[in-house]
Amino acid sequence: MKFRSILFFLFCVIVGLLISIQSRIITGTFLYVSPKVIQDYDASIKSEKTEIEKLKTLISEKEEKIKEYEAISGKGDDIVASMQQELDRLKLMSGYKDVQGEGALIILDDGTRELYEYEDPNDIIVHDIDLLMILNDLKIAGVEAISINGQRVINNTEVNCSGHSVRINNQFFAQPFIIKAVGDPVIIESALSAPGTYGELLREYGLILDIYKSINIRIPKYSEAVDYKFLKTIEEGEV
Amino acid sequence: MKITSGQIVIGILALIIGLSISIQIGALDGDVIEGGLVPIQKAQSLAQELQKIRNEKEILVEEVTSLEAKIKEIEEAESKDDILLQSLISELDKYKMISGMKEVKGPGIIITIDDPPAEDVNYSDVSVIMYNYELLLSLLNKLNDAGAEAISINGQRIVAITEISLAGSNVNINSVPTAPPFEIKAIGNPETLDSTLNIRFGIIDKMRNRYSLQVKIQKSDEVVIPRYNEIVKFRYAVPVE
Amino acid sequence: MLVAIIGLVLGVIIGLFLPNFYPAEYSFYISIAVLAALDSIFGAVRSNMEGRFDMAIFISGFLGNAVLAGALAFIGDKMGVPLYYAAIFVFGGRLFQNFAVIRRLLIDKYFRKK
Repeated sequence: MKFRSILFFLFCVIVGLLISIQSRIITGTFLYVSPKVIQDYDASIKSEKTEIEKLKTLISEKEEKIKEYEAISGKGDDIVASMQQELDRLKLMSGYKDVQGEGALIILDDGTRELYEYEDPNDIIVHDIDLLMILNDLKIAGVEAISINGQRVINNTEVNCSGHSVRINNQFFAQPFIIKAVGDPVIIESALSAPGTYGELLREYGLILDIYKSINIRIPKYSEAVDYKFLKTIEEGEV
Repeated sequence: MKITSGQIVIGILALIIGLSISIQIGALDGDVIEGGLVPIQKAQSLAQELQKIRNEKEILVEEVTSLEAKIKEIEEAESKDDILLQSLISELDKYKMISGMKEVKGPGIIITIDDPPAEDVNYSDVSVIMYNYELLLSLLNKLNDAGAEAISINGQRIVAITEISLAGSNVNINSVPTAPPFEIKAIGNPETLDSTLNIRFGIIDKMRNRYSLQVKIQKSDEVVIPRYNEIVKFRYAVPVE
Repeated sequence: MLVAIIGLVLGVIIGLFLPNFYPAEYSFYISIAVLAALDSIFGAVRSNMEGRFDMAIFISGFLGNAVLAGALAFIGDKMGVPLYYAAIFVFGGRLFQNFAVIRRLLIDKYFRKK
């Protein structure tokens, strides 16, 4: 057999190979999808994986607790202590306990400078969204408790600007807004002052945003009673 | 080798063409709405992987629930004759619900927000709703204002310390990356929630008209909102007795 | 030509048992490259029948066209322009042209010169 023929034969085999591998990869009527679909899947997968990690941590904490209970089983007082601890933690988490710790005191107020020609006075007034963004930036900075003018900020807290006053947790307030936050003071300061932050933007517009780091900030608990009219827990076994 | 003027001209033109190609590629970098084809096989295998991971997560959630039931069982066994313990247990239940550690259900509303349809977007490579995440903060605020008792976004329960931050090409909520479309569930009075959101010039109006977002609102008799899945570690805050 | 047919069929059969050795995202570009390669093969069969087969031209055409076609499709994708159409029209067209010449040669050889 001539060398040329063998070589040519080899190339044909390669092409045949590619053709059949291709036809295996591509099945179905709609042959191609856009990369956006892949991106969406990647995002969902990433998000679910993070959740799984969190759940694993939760599981190991629960298992620890069960071990603890089994070790002290029979000793009524110890179980009470352990349950009381858990209760305190939940209250702390949901804002139903006074807290104190390192943090910062933040003062937010309308600007006092002169308006430029044709400038909209709204530009140097504090709005709902300004408070919401500051609160959000504080949460991103990892603060553990926040209050505005003495009102503890919990998950249901609303910030509603109406005219010259603001309603928070159904109480009315006017400027200045005194925000207290417990967390790392340095991180809090940079979250509200570093270039590119919302806090810095407010300052550029002329609003007053002052931060006072402190080694001890006291934040009161949420003072309303809880009254859920619509919420029901899902009991064990229910779907 | 002598280089003729003709070769120089060709060389320069080739350089210009090469430059144009890379500028064009650079301009479109990140714009994955047009261009590019991926075989459906890859999408199908990713879908399978996602399903597998979701199943794994379901199993873990069930395990957490059953561990908690076991803990409660132990607590109740110990408290059978003890009024103090019994009241402690009911307090625990109450605060578990308040702090978001329990899955809840009730009448309410489901809102779905998505970016404007692809044809309307002019070379925008960043999602409109993600970049303007303050709209989500506003929406949450309005829901709270209208008396929402529990809220979740894309399966993430909103608790006191929940943050919404833009991180790369995702929005992080409770440090979990998510992406549009955003499904927001809220439990409360469906009528009140719906009408508060839909007032003229309100947040939904703004989203639809100013940002061209696709927003769907649906009232429901039963909305299920998942629990918050994390242990909160307090490193700075200490309770005051 | 028989060599070509047997080679292709054998390749397909072997391919059924081989694992995928390239990521699925590139399969579109591989398709275009395969088209270019097929055109080279048809061209080789034709030139062999005409007695003009040149191994160097075949190999350089096979590899060169395949790589160029795949690269063009890839760049076109990145630029948002469907450049792969060029490969389809050119190689597809040439494939049918070569096939036409092969047909004529076969018919002349086996049915006319009897």
